[in-house]
Amino acid sequence: MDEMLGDYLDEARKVCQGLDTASYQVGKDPSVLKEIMRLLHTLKGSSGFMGFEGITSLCHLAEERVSSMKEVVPGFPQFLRTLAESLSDTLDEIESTGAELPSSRERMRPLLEALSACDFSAYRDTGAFGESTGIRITPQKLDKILMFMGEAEVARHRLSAQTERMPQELSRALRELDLAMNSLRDEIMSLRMVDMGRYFRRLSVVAEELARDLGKEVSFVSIGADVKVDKAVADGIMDALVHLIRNAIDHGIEPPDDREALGKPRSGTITVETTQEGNRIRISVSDDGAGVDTERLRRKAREIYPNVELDEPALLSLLFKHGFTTKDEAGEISGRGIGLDVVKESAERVGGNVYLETEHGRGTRITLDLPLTLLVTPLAFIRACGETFAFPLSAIVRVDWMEDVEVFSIGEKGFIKRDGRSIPLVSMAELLGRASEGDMIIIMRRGVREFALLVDEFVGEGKGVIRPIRGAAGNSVIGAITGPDGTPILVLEPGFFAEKGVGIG
Amino acid sequence: MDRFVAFRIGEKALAFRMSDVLGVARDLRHVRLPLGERGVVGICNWRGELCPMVDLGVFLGIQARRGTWACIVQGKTGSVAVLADAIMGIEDGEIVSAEEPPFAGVYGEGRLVLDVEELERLCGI
Repeated sequence: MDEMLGDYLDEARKVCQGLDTASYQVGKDPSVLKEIMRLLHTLKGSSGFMGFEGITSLCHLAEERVSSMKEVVPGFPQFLRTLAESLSDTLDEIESTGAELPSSRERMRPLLEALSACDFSAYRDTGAFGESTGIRITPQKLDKILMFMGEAEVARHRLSAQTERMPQELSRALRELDLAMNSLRDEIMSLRMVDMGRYFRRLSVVAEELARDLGKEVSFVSIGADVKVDKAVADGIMDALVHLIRNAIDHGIEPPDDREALGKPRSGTITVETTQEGNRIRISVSDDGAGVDTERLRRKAREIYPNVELDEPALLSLLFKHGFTTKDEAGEISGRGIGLDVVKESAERVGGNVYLETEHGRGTRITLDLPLTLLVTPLAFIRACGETFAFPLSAIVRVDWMEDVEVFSIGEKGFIKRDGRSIPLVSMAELLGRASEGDMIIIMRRGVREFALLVDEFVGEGKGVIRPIRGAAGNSVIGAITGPDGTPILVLEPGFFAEKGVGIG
Repeated sequence: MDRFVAFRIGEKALAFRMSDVLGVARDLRHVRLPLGERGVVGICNWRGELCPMVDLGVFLGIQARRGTWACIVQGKTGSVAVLADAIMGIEDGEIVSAEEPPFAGVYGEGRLVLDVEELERLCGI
């Protein structure tokens, strides 16, 4: 369905672009009316197929009017531009919410009225270019601008590190460049930021529909709708949020009669809250439902790991494991052991983490801790096996010299002792199947667990624009950045080392 | 008559259609993938673009001898660098027979022409 919607949106946006272009030609060449009819007919058909009634009706009426138009009537070219703009806005809403919202009907109303009356006088063009209030830019184009901006910023950082060796005049010019770049970055960044509110609307629709299907009463509360988030981050975790809402309603919120018997209000509450703290965004989904029955979870865990006694964080982390479910039978909505692993993957894909807090009988809160932006990622650079690699800085807890920590092994598995805790240890060279001797330990976080990675050297911190790698990079690599001398540096996925090395899933 | 860029991996003579080739380069700055699979052995910097580097020898069962050259072709969504032992030059010819993917056919004295889209599919790009 998502693929179909994507194809539809691509085609529909081309139609809008075509209508906009035609609006500038139709006054000079009335034969363009045929092209306009073709465009409207195309959009009518695809919108009808997708069930977007508002757009279908608007295109149908517009097509009828254009077909009976012998010559271009005054105001029609400007009307056409407004129509294209209005349709584009509606498509943007459909993209973020999956549905035609009442606001799009409102937007279309004056256009429908003009079409019904065949009167476009209200749209008469003054001919002044100043009438235009803005330009449209595709997300892809914006991403490209941002990518180059990020590259420029990384180069600027590199240059800034050399100021001591620069003549005073050059160093002053560099400071001015710094200020200009900061302003430019902030302005460009703001173009990419979107209100969480547009995502909350879709989540509330999901919650309402699902609650109805399952015969549950649910109030959807959203907090922080005006918090701005990088669109790439928000898009990247939208499916995860839908999973969390589904889980909360299916697993968490009890049926109304059960809630009443438990002394709870008949209607459960799901709260989605977004907060910004520094350069991190936290989105939490909480419910006042049954919470996780940790004793039942422990019993299930014993079935899988009969010889291991797991502490509570480790126990709860099982819920994020692929295929793990506490339900004995899979429900139609959830309970198939899929969902929370997808949530974790989605968060990690955009450089974030997931935390779960729960109290049996009181409810559950799952928090996604995400970067504010994907534009420039803080990175930690290390050397292993003679090559430089990077990890997202957010995954690094601390760095130690090998000689400063106590290393011991149980069976074939290595551990380090740190602050009274035993942390599993894995050699990066061993995992990569290469020969190397490390003497630095990087302690990294994977969910609520920590693990230690043995590397040759910790080079330092920096920033980079991570670009995805096409091809069979497997799940060990997030992407790559361009190093100072132009050589690519791989940004590695901490989760891969946690899973392969020490079995933290 | 078509134009091709001919290259060699081991003793095997191969070619790309000239229209698919963006350029050839020697000793491209690159990094190996930690666990390179299915022929994508690393990432290289081709004029500012980070693109996958493919070792076709893996599929053809040939051990490339040096692989210091790369033929950079235009893939579906970006550039792809194909490692080669030597670039033999630009040649004219006509594809006379169709071959199994990833080959588009043969020209001249048995030069196998690679289809870029099929090559990407083969490498999972």
